[in-house]
Amino acid sequence: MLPSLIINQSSSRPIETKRLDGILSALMWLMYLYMIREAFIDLYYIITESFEWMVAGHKLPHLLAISDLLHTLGFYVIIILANGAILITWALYNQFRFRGMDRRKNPKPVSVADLAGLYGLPAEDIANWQSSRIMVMDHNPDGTLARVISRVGGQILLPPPEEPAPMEPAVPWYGY
Amino acid sequence: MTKTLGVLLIVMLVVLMTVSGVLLQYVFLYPLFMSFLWMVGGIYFYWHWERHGVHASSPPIIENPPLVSILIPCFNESRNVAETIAAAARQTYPNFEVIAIDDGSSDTTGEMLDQLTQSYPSLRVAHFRANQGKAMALRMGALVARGEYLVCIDGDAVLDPHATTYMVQLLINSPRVGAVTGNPRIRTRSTLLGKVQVGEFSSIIGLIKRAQRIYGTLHTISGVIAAFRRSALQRCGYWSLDMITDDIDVSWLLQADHWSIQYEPDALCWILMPETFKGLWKQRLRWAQGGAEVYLKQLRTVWQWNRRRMWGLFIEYSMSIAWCLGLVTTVVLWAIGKFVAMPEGLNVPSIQPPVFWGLFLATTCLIQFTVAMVIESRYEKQFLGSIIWVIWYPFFFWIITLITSLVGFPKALFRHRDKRAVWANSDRGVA
Repeated sequence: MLPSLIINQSSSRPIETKRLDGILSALMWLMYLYMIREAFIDLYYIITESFEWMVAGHKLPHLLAISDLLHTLGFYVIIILANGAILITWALYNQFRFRGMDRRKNPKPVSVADLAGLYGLPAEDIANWQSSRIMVMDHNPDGTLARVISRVGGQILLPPPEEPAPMEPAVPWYGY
Repeated sequence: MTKTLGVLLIVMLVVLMTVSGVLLQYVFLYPLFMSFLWMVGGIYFYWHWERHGVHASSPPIIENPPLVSILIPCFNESRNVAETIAAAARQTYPNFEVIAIDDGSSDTTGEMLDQLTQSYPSLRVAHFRANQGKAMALRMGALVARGEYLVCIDGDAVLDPHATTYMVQLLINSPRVGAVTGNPRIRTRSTLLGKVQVGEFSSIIGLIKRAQRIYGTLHTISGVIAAFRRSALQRCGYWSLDMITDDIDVSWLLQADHWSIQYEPDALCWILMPETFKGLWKQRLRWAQGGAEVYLKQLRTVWQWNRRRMWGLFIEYSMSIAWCLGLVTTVVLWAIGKFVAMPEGLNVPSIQPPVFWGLFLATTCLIQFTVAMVIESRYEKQFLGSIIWVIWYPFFFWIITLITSLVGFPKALFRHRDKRAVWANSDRGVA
């Protein structure tokens, strides 16, 4: 990793904002801890009752009281394990079935003629563009190439369009 | 017709669950079970593929390396493009060219790229006179590229020096592999949103990619860092111009044509992400809308027997949307029940889940984060500290995902597909 790539401008942010981030996050953790408080209380009772049961043979009232919950959790655990087992079995099946075999041959690399066929452009032009270092491309409104100018040589490789119309406003692209 | 069928399918699923009284259970159980499924898949991927690997310091050696073309679409990237090109030109892979496609930038990106050709002999530049969108930039990049293997990154991404080697070796080693997706790492960590996303990218996105790889199909490559076999793209017609997320679309196209997509976590790429709520909202809405567009596009053909390997992916997506719709339905039924006496099957007495449900879900989420972060700590040592901030994820990000899915799905449904997706200025952190 290159540590310099990480952009952390926290120090330039207002101290109040940083404090607010910290306080709100701490509150979230407290909320979570509050939720697990009940679970810990139940766990405490179960452990102490189990201990008393082992030493003195006392009953396990708390454990009995939450047995429905434990049954539900047990059911969830079974489903989780079953899902996991299905996924791993599927992965192992595929590894076993396709081990050491590649039914597909190495595809032929795409040639200029292939590109010319798909894009509907002259193969000679595509070969020229592939050898250009800097080029300028004009497109028609429908997205087809109108012309390409190799800036270094100034050579026009396709005839100019009659009147390139402005592109219709489209859905914005928010790329990351 | 296809779109109507897609909507009907999901609505019927939700109605069926509502009437049979299992809606609330589904709303709770679906994320719970999926979370454990991601964990199992992620751990298996690590155990099978990653644990013996030696991380980035010693990438594999490729004999007779074929020419690789690194395509970089740029739109108004004057702040970042020099760094991006420099990192791309520093690849340790021995045989490559860099092609920057200036997509009609209105700032100085074009001039900067021309100047950079003086410093980097491997750099070639294609300028568009007008903005045409990322998909068109990639298509033109592929047209003028000389390599059979294409590595595509964004104009603000910084490629790790060994990333190309790691991705291309997977394409060379198996003729079945049509694309390889890399491991995006977030650079922008100044605000709470930035810090939460660091955890999210590893624990949600990274872990899901690993698990989906174990299943066999990926929902999407990462558009910011992916490598392609050109012959695979040629068969699929390259990137679609009318889809709002070209990366999701091309992933489904390739897999529907029986190409495999691999995940290579060693192929690191450092990226900028939004750090404001507005930027995050726009990004997530685009993701949600793009996913829905691809779902609706594939609906008609995905059921064909020769596409059966896509069924799992398709069902998973349908269930996710049903989950969003189910959660909203639950709240709506509860609200109506406050004013009108509801019949037995439709009565939701409370939307507050039993205490142990919330506890169980939150704990599962935190376990998932921990598992993912331990796996990902191979690639970035210091980031285990991010777990402090991920407490937000179960609350804040789930709500964003829910709302963007609910907004994005109708947007995809009613969007005119003849419109091309073009660039808009985006939030890349507060720096």
